[in-house]
Amino acid sequence: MSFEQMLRKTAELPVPAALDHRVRTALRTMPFAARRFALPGMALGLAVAATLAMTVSMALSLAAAGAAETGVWIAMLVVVVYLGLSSVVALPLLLRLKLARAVREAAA
Amino acid sequence: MTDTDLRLAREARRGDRQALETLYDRHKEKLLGYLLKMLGNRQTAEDVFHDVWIKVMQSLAQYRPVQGSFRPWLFRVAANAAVDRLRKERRRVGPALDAPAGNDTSERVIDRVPDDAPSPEAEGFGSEIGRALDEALARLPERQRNAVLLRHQQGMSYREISATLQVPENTAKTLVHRGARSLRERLAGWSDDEL
Repeated sequence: MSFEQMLRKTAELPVPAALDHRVRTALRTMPFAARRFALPGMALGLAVAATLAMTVSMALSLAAAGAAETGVWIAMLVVVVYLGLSSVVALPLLLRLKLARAVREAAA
Repeated sequence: MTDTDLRLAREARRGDRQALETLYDRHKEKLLGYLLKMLGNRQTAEDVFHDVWIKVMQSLAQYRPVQGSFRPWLFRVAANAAVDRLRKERRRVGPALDAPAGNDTSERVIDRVPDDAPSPEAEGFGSEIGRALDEALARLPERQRNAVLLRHQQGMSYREISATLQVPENTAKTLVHRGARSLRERLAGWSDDEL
């Protein structure tokens, strides 16, 4: 008998009852770890949040500097346009990422 | 088998405990067989076996089926846990097991360590040959031992071994061939009939 055949004979080992019980109890009672956000989604979210914060702070600065109503309206317009554009760009991108992952998983 | 594993893994990722338990039932005996040969000690293998399933549960959310089937992923978790344990124990033990024990250079440290490994009979071997194989395995570098066990004990393809050990397929082949050659050399004293 070769060592390969000897090793094959040891491929499976019955799990002792006590150990089996311990593992099963853990599998039944331990909380599942929460799913982490995917990196591209997280990066995109951070970029959106950072740009939004900058735009709002710019609007507030304009208002405080006495640009009065016109400045605030311009800043508000920038925010709305930015949000509109980002949803047009970001949402399909996120959906595509999710779709691509689903396709890859299905292929695997 | 792989399709079922992938479906079960997807369900388990969504929090289905029944699916996780089915995965456990499908792989537990092979995993314990692998860990016993990898670690060479029943108690340690059982400890690591338990830890591995806890880790599987904790990291299942990060498992991406696209990276390969479930089995290489599971054995990657197990291989990492086994190597971590071996390194931890090596640090705890202190002197190398091969080092001479005291002034009598014919005796090594390992010869003075009480043998609490399972009897080869209990693992289905004739005693002497089983011990010889275990010793030869224990002397292989961790990566080679891993590769040899995944190939010749668990019957994985080189592609699966490469996914498990996260090395290129050619490296996996080299590790298996070198490990197998070392085993053959170390077991050369045993005739084919004895083996």
